[in-house]
Amino acid sequence: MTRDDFIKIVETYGVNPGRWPQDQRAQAKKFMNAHPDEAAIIMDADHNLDHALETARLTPGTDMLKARIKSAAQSTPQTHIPNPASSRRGFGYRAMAAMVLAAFSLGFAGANLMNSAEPETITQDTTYQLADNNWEDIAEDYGFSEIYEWVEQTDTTG
Amino acid sequence: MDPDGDLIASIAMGDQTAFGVLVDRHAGAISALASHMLGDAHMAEDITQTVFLKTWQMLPAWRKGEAKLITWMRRVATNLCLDHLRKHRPVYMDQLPEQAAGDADQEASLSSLQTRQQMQNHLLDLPDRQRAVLTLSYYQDVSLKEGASIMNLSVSAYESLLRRARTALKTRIADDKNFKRKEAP
Repeated sequence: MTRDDFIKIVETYGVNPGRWPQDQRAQAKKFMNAHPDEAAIIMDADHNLDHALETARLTPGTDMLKARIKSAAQSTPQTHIPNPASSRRGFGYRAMAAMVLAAFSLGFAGANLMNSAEPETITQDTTYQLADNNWEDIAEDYGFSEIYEWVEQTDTTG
Repeated sequence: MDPDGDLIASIAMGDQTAFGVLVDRHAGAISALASHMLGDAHMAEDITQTVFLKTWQMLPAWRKGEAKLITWMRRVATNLCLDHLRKHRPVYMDQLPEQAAGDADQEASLSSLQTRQQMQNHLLDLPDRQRAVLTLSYYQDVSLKEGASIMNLSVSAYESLLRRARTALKTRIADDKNFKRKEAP
């Protein structure tokens, strides 16, 4: 395992080896044991983040809620869910979704052009540094990944 | 093997007792998932109830072997939360009152509450889908495969979304001058 691989694991899953992917855990532990000082530096920021995440853990009380749900179920009839929509209807939704993504992309492209004239507006965006290769990331974060993939596929095959 | 396999057939036949066992088993997890996503305990309870009633209603049509029931329930809960968040912003935690002079335990407890509140607000500040993957992976302890299935993503896309979520959260914490960090051992 390389240093970059180890960084990726820690940045994705945190410092607790129990959360690391099973197929990479042994190699990551081996790296940690072989390079303890380097590993400690890499893990420092994520150690703080894991601790902070733990402080925000919510364990809501549910006794009244459970009683409410059980009571509501008594007056709720069971029903059969209809089959999924036909592929033709699905195509209609996908086509509409593609148009939404196209509008979304044009909006971002416009913003990008404006930003090239006014660079200070880019620094105000702390979530993303708009680069050529992160459209897919933006689509994922905001729930357009399926549409993105579909449009990409359509563009290359059509 | 579905850990709720012992209940599915009975609930599908309308067995309220078996449904009660399912509620006892998973209401805490679903309610916590919705609370982390929304920051609003009341709305989280409403969403939890909706998830269980949908489960009650659809179990007669459940196709065995497609997914674990709890995975399906987490997926419904996550989607309901994301739908809700498209229309309403998350509810940020209220500021705590000014810290009054008191004994050390009281001050430590208030400080801990403040840290918790600050952290919850940083989580609520993330893009909704980043918060969703953090909630699933960190607070629900779902596997990569299950998380990807809930979010309808490939495993690698889920993994990279999780990494971006943690990076964004680290940046927010680092930028927050008032955030109390863990003291070095």
